[in-house]
Amino acid sequence: MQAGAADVLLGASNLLAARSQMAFTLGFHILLVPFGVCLPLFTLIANAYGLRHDDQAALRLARRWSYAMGVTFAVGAVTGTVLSFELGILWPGLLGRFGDVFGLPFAIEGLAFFLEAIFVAIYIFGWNRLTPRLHLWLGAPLPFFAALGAFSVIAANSWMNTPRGFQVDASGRPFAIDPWAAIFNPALPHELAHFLLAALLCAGFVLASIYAVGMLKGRRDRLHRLGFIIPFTVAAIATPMQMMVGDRAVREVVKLQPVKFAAMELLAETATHVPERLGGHMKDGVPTGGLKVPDMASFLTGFHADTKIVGLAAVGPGDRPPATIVHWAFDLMIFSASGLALLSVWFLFVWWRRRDLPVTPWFLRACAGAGALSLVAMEAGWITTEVGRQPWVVYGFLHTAQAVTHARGIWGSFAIVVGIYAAVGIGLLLVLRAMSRRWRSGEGDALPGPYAPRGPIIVPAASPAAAAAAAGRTA
Amino acid sequence: MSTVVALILWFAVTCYAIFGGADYGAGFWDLTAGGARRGARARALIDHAMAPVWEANNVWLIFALVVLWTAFPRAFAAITSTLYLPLALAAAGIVLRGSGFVFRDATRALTGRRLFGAVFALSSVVTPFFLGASFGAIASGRVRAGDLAEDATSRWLGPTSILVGVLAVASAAFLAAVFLVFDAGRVDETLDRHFRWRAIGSGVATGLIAIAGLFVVRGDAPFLFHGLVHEGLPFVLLSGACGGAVVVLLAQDITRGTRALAVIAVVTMLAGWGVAQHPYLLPTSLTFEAAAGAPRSLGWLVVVFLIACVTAVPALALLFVLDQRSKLQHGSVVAGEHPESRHRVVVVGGGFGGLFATRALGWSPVDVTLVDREPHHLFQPLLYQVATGILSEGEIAPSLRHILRFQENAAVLLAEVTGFDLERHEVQARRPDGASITLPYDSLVVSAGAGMSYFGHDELAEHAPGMKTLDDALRLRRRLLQALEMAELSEDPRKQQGWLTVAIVGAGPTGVEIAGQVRALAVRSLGTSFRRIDPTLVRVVLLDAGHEPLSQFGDHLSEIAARELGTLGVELRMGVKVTAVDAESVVLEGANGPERIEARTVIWAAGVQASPLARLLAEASGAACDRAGRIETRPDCTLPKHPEVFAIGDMASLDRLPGVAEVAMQEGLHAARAIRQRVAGKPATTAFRYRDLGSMASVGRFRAVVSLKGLRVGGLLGWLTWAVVHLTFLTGFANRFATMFHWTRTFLGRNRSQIAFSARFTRTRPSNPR
Repeated sequence: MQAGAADVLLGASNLLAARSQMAFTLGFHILLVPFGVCLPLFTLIANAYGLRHDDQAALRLARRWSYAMGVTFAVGAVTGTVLSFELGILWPGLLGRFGDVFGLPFAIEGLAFFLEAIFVAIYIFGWNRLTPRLHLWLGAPLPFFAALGAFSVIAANSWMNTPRGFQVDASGRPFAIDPWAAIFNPALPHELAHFLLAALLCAGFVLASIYAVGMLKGRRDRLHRLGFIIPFTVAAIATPMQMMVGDRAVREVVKLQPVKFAAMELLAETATHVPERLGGHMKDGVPTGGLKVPDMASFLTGFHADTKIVGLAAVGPGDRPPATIVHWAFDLMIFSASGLALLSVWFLFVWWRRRDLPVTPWFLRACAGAGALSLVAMEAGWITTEVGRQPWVVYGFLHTAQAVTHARGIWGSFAIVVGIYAAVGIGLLLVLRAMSRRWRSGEGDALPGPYAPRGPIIVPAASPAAAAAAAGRTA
Repeated sequence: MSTVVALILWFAVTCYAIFGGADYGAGFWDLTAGGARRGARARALIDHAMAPVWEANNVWLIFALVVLWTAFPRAFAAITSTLYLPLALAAAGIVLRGSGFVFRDATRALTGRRLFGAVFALSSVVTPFFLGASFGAIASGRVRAGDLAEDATSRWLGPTSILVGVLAVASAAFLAAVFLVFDAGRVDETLDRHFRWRAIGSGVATGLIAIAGLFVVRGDAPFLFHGLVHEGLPFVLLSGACGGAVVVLLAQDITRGTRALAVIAVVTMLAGWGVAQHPYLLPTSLTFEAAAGAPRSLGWLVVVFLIACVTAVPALALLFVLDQRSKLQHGSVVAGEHPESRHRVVVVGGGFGGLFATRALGWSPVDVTLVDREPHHLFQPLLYQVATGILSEGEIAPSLRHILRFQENAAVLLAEVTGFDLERHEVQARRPDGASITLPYDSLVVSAGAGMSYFGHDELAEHAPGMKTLDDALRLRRRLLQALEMAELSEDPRKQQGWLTVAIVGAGPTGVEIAGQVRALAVRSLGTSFRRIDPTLVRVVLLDAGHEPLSQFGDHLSEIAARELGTLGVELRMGVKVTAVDAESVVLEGANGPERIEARTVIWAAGVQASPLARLLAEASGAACDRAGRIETRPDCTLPKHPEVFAIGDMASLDRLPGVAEVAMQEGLHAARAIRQRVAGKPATTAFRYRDLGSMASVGRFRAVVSLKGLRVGGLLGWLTWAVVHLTFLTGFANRFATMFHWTRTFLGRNRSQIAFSARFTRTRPSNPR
């Protein structure tokens, strides 16, 4: 009895530690993903634009971005490798049971990643070594590989939310496995569209915010202007689209995972005329506090106040996600995305009218904050969908607690991972900043970095003694 | 199928051992190279030798993991549970190593480089050790299927695990040292010896560890030992032989062939291990067959692997070729922008040719100065609509500054060009305040257009003004409307008819269009506005020396045009010559002898004369001028002996091209392209080739004739084409919108917006007192 209690305690502790570690590493990795997926696109836009209009500033920008792309891609590759380890060592129960059901997309991801790595290297190598046009065309597949990689990872994730392509026997083991049905599960279309747009949006706003800060500091040359406008325009166009796709995604969640939606809306009991609650929290299973807009949630869900929404109480206490976190994450995502949408509309309107950026420095100030805000929206959205899936790891089939490892010391490894990742994150920022400083001080655009071509071998001169020894030996 | 997938798994592990192993080994030598100064040379070489796609090597590891969990999920669960600790430490090592390497390369400060370098080197040793230990634990049967219990996590540690971990570090170091000898040989003797001795040492060490390992394995993992000395023996022996051969060759100062032999040694070592533990994935508890997952998943995994082979191999080959090439060529520095030395372009004239040339240079590293004596760009094809009160002047004459407001490299200068100094590359001009200025240029585009030609009878200009400028159009509008007022006031029917008669000389597109619109203005718009006269009786006479209107369009369209004009009530007088014009009448010379037509309003639309600048330019360059004063250019629109000077548009004569907007536009684009190529240092330009996009003229309401590559369209369809084309080439969204609004108002309704005029009755001559 006592041993059993200890087991449960240990299990709970392990579960929390493993979830924390997985969440932390994924949360770190997801910050890099938009750049891996979208920097190639921005770089190619700048490159194509520069070639088409013979614009040296745009070409210089493309060159610089390609180097930043190399650094972020390399770090993203490393943190991605760690994730594939963690999937195994933290969740042996997940892949041990369902590995052959949803393992295939990871193999596709491996392929896409490999191709992207090779072509990133080719692209960075190709500057001034290939004819400009061939160079551009060799870079052209990059966004497709990036999208393929995103597709496969999202396929695996959406499968966890809406598992398909198998049946389970009495012991819960899958049989009659169809890997393609698992990949093309019902949640894939909206999750993928939502994520790709989110990546565009994040990468665009973050990149633009860097140049916005530069412009605020008075560096208003063509390079900064283009560096701001190219990513910001893409992001500003993607944002309204994202609002629509996001709306679609929520409607799909209502259909496919009503309990997750109940958590997003902080709704305990199934009801009609559900108010939209902004803020608030779940206190002893009762939604408390926050600002309520009467009937709004029902209206938004079914365009009618009579729309019935399933509450958390529809499932047993053991199957309910932690509603407060999910709800706050959801609200945070909506609010930050709305802020970004306003900024986008402002920009698009002024651009349409005047072919120029809004004049007020407040616009640039807002843009400087938009990068961080978009990352907040991204993380919040990811928390919404992942924590909203809890307590299931394979929705409706396998509890997260059943999948976790029994190994001891997960808290310890979590602490180590936090330490290492903090160092890596700070290092990444410092390196990117150092690169930008050196560019600004005019050290030329070719910098050593990952994937950079090898120049001639430069080795310091040998010491006189060693040189004499070598000479004597040759003689 | 499970065997095929197992082979793929082995392939991925082997690739990782070779490519990743060499990288890890390089890190080992980096770590042991000595102090910052002593080891600097070796580190520089290691830095250089690290494959540029080093992270791509992690793909093999990821791929092995993915294959393992997709194809053999049960084994995967057991492995990751039992080997939690070594795998977690290996993963940590991978992060630190990768980041350390990236950051070291991207950092220049020495302390930063040292720190990142130390992290990189240390983790290069830790990672292969724990990965090797994991393999050792699997091979020695420490991982058992279905055993996910907590106490299993401590079971990984054993003699074989430690041994294989050390062996992994040693063989990685050996592999890397052999590769580095190859690179060092290209630098100098000292480095070559540095790595040669290390390669020999690590080779011997690896061999000793392997031999000692056999005894450890014998006691710790009898099954594996049995496999190694039976089925796996040929591989083990081959591996030892290759390793030994490398050591011997290196000691003999021979480098050639050592790389291949070292790779073979590693591959055969792994092959021996694979054969030894066959058919078990987890020795003695789980076979490949039993561990295999769903057959469909396995099948698709093989397909993905084949796709990967087909796509990645050519890509890798390309990268390899580029890498080799980059050793021969050094990256050149991107040419910077030097504003003070930028190519200067002066464009004379802001008409179609000049404006299109200026805009086409918008993204080139040149500075453009556009000189015009008027501040606006005039859309001449619709000038007659200003004269007849349909459009306002702003809609067809947007300011040049406004058009070019977003083009940062272009400046507009209001001045009248007075001369050229082609030798000194200068243009002389006079500002509106009378001051003279000189504009230096590197390329010159002259596009000054044309004025009216009276064929040597310039005295006709006084009573028969032309239709070339905005002022002409506004003056004509006032004269037309004044004439109607005068007719209303006039008592004498003969004089009244004189005021109500408009004679238009020249039945080209301009003449035809204005003739139609004058009738439409009087009949449709003003028909009921007067009491004493009937504006529908306004007589419009179209005179031309040819035998039909719009003769350049061809017979069929001329017929249509003649019919439409007849319907509108325009009187056609073809085959007549105008000999004199005075304030009250036009004198004709026709087949029936001289004739006099009483007409108070005469419009000259007969001929054009190139701008006087054409003659100036011709004199300066020695080029010829034709009868209309147009300068004859070379086929690429440049002047003889002056390839940097372009003469385009109505003032230039090339291939007898007509003086229409389309030609000027295309010539402007051609000149801009030629300048761009010149600035980019590309070879001289080719000849200008005109693409005929057709010509068109509108004849009244909803009627137009369009001639396009043999296609001839009249009527409403023609008019719609005409409307779309003209709207397209108008400048500015607002102008297009306003024009469309005015057309709707005029053509669908009856109103004209722009028929206001002031009653200041100006005369072009002192009027006869009567």
